[in-house]
Amino acid sequence: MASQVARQAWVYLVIVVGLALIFSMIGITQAATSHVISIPLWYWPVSLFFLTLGIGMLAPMAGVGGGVMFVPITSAFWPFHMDFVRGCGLCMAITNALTSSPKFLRTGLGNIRVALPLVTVGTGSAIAGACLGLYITQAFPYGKYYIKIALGAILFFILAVMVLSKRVEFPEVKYVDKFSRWLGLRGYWYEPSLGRVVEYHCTRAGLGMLAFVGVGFLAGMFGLGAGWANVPVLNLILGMPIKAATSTSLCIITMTDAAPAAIYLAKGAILPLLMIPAVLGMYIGSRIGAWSAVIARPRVIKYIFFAILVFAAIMDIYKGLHGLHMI
Amino acid sequence: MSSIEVKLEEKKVEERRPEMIEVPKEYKVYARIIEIMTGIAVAIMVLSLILYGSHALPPYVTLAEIVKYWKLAATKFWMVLKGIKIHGYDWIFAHLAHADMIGMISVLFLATACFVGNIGLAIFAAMRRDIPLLTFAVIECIILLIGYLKPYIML
Repeated sequence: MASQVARQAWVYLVIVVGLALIFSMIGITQAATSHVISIPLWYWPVSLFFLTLGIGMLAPMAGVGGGVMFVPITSAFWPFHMDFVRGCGLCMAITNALTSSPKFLRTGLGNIRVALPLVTVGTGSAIAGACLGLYITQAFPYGKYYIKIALGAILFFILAVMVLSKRVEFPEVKYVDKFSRWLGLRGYWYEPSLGRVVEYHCTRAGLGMLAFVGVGFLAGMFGLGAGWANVPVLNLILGMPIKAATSTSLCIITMTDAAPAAIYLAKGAILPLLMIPAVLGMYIGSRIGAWSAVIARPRVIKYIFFAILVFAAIMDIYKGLHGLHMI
Repeated sequence: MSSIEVKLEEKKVEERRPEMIEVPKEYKVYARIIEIMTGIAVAIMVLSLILYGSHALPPYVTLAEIVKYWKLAATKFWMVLKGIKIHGYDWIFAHLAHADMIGMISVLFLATACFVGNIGLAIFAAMRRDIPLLTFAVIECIILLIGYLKPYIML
């Protein structure tokens, strides 16, 4: 009983500290960029470290990836160019996925056999997305504003996908098509809550690959991890159980975001003094968050994150339109 | 039953786990490869931060310079700041005597971790004559290679 209370207290502590870090960093940064207060230079990398620490602490409890929070928040409230925000976002998404996926692969929850056909098309379109994203900001004088408006619009789409898509814990796959059977898309893992090994088969691999053309493109263009899209495709199209889909999504991010990260690096769109604190903050924060998520996942965190995403989306669109002198 | 109680119940079941399931060996190899490469990448990041913080090595771009020009697009940023056009990875290796540029090496490790992992997968698939896995592992390697070498093979 005492340990349960202690665990509950720990979860609330993580929530309070995580939210305090995110909101205080946004508040101070807004005050600094509006010249309300003057701050020392070291504040910028430190602010990114604490922001990503806060995001990392709460994201696993909210069931979202860190990249999808980081890119909209920093592009809306921090003064960096979109190129550096997206480069940083990709590095964070890939580090997070690379550190989390090995343990899922070893338990059978992560399924490379299912991931590979999808990432081959996803990686190709992610490269195209990264090239187009960098081309727009470099070739057009107002390119960064177009990207900001598009990011804001995409955020509303992401929110709609998150809210409206139904998650099926164990989808029933009645028929496995020829292509999926040739690929051998099946897997199994030991499910402690059921006390047995869960086996599953996936289907509609061709349709899944088609969906990944779009998913990869958005990931490369906006520097997002795209876990929000991977999971519904795996769960609802391929019929993969939700737990396996969430874990396999991380394996997918390790591959789809790799080539775009190299492209951003080759274009000089990654600044180490901004990227390193952000990645390390997320690296530490997500460990605390993952541990807390094992104890509890309060729904209120998800709603708070959705509210932050809506606010960041509105800010992105507003700043984009303002930059184009449309408002 | 509250969500916390449910989780605790799951934990108890996990402790009585009856058997370890057999995971394909290639998955374990892939997991080990990316684990090692990510570990190296994070270690390089920490080293770069220590070298920068302790002033053991000077940065190629100072924080003051970043703050001054960070509103520019990446291409313009480097052109205005250093008078160089960034295209490829040569500029990173040319300035490895700077603390921040050492940190850039970590990104190369992160970006190539899955490529090395896929080579491992392809070798295992070839040994087992697992044609579907071999096909997609090789295709993925080729696509990743095109992505990495894009600055040198395309404009």
